[in-house]
Amino acid sequence: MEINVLDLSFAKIYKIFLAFFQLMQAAFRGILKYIVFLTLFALLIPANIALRAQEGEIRRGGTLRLAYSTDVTTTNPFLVSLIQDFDLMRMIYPCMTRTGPDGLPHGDLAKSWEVSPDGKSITFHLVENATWHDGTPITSKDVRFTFEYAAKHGFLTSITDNIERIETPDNYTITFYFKEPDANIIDNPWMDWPYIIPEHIWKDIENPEEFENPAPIIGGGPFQLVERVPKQYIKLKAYENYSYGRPYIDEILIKIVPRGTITLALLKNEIDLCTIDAAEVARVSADPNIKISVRNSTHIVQLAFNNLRYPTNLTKFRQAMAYAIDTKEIAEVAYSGYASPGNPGFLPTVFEYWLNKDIQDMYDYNPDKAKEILDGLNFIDRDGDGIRETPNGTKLDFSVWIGPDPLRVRAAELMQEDLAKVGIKISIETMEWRTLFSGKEDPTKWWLFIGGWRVHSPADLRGIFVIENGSNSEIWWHDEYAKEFLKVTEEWTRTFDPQKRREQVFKMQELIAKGLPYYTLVHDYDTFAYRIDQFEGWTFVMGYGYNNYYTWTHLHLKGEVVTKPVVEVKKVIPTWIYGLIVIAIIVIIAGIVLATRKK
Amino acid sequence: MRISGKYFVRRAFRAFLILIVLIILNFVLPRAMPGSPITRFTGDPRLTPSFRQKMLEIYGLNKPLWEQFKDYLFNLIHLEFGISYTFYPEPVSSVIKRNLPWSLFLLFLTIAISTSIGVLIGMYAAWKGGGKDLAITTAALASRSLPAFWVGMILILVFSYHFDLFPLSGAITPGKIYLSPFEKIKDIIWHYFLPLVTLVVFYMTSTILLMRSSMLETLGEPYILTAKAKGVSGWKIIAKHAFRNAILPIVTNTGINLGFAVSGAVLTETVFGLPGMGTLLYQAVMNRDYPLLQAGFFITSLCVVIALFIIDVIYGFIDPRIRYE
Repeated sequence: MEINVLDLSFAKIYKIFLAFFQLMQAAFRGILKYIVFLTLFALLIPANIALRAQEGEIRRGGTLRLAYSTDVTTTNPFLVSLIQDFDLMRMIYPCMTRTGPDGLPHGDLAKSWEVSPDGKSITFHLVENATWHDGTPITSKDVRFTFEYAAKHGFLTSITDNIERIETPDNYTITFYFKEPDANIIDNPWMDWPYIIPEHIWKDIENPEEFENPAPIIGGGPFQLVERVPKQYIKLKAYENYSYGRPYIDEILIKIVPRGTITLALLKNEIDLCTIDAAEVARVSADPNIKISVRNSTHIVQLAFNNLRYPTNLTKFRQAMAYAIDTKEIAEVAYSGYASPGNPGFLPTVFEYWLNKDIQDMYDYNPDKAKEILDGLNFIDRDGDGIRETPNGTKLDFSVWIGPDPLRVRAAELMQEDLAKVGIKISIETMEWRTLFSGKEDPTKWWLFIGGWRVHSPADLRGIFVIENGSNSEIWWHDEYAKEFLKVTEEWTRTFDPQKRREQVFKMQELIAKGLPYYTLVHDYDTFAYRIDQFEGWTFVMGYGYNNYYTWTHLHLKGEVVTKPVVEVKKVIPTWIYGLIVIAIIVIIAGIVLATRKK
Repeated sequence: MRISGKYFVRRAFRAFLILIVLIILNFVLPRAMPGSPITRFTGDPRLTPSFRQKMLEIYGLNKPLWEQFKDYLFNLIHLEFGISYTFYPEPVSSVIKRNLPWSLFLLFLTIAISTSIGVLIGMYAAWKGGGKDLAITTAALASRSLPAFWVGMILILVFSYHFDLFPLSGAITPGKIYLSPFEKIKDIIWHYFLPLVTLVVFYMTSTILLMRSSMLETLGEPYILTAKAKGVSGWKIIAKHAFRNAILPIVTNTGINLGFAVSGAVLTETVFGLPGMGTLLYQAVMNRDYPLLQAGFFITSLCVVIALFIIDVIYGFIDPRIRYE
């Protein structure tokens, strides 16, 4: 008869032992039956408990295999420039806070923080069990060192330029005092950047810009970079003593895989996660071991106008072009439905709390309205060739520059047709990205370009349009709305009331929508594909997709009930040892009794 | 067979002059491209204008052009190429040292195999003529018209993905711990098999066609007729009498190919995800990495110039008519 210990309740176990005891009484004499009975009792109960406990535990182990199409450019946290550089640093180094799955700041190195009412200081309280990968405790001194070191060498200037002084009253408390109040710190208390570095490693490095930071890297994040073969792979190992508990997986293996082969690698079970194009969805979804997740992203595809060149420097002309372009068609046709029409206020629609819903249909496709505005500007087709001219005879014949992105080229082709209907001719010029970026620095050379932007937070609205220079900050878009935008964003950096901040973000979007320095064509979706045959615990974080801190630390081998992650890493004594101890005690007692009883 | 000292000196001087021109062009051409190295720091609000300015200073691009040229010449004399912008702060020499052996391994093997097989097939086609010649020529022309990267992608799809016989990409198995050097060599050969097939097919076709036409021309010479009249066997005519004359264009072609081997095979390396000079120089172009571009072009130019010089000398040995010109 097969008995599965796990199926037994304690009452059933008692009945079985009673039956065993009676058997023992018949089979063994004297004290022996008690010894045998208690031995079995000692073994079974802990075994039952142990097995029940194991049923609730998460299996540890496995290697998460990721793919980058381009190798990282650096492992020096001060020299990061590509998205993959930032992602890798996040695995290795701690930050003060991190972006949670809800998009809000969660504690990382800091377990809590307070911003002073006047916004001129922020105090972080650090977790007290964090250590670097070599076991050295992480303290407030390391945090202070990071910012002072960065300031000394000219890094992190967007933050350090505004720091007046830093105080560390104890090992786990640090306060930053700012020269000017910065209300953005409420929404973004340094989430996911900058990276905190160990003082005991970096204090001897005189020239950080020349430091390669080779593997194995001493960081304080959930993983340690242990091996790197440039252009081939990067290997990271789970850090056993990570402050929030050792990750369940043992390793992350980042493979450098050509873009054209990444999807094949996923289908062939050589990697666990990637993004795919709309055209690949049908093939990938046929594999039952792969799950596809389509998400509204923080990405924007925008039409940029040259605000320094006539006539694209006329606000009304830009508005006319916006009315003439059918962004719904672009989303459905060029992006095959894997995009949504753009928010004219620029902020991706995924930021629901901050989204100004009143302006969403401001530029609904209306070619008649576009013609009316153009007529009002006296842009008329004077020679009957279908192309309007300005009053001084310049034809509305522009080039639109596009990087090597086939979907944007398709979008531009649809735009070309729409604008032709209202008498504006555009020709499409595709070029390499660097050529485009450098070319647009000369305002005499371009009219329009189609670009993209990934927005991390509403604070980026100011970052995108304003060239920061303290009190001499400039905005590169020039009309009445621009002046007001500059004023509103400057006030926003000093506004601490949450409701007022929200209203100000609404206002910023309204001003962008009216002034149109950029016209948001679409927000293209991110399509993720990840394998579900080996791991579970995939977590989505806005702005990071599925390749984020929570996936790295929560992902685990399949087959177990998910429980909350262990907060403290402690050595767990296997339950069977308790049984062994009980047996040992029984044997010793029996031995004593046997030895001392009279024959 | 000896060549005159005058011949040697003339060739060496010509090579030197070419090198001077190349050194100057090498500095000018990368900077003639639109865009600058710091444009890759555009687009992320965390990479502020002051950070970009700092990177300009680190790269030395805030110096006047003549000062940059002076630094470039000074570094070149010491065979230093500066620090790579893409892989900052790794020196260019270290970056190239990492990547060049992979390209040389792939291309030298490719050229050796493709030349050997191509020469034999070309000789055979010229010798046999008729239907066999037609079949070989047609196959060679058809293969030549297929883009190498497309052939590579098809090989990946069929043999790596569908038949699972070879890896999808890379030079080595990521994360693998090798128990012996032999195991690592085996792993590398397994990874390089498909790229090798891709490039051998591509290079072999030109060798076949070139050898065939050169052999046909040689076979039309009167001394070949004499040899036939004397009763010399067909294959001996080809191998002993015609081969040495017909091989001259192949020598030139192979020499030039070997010279260019240091520049890698960018499309094949990209498709197969291989390290090498091809993808490195491509990345350097995309990132406007002037030091890396300069080093890459300089090394390639130098190798081609040396290869041409060696070919000139070999020609002097092989063909006595040349050394008396």
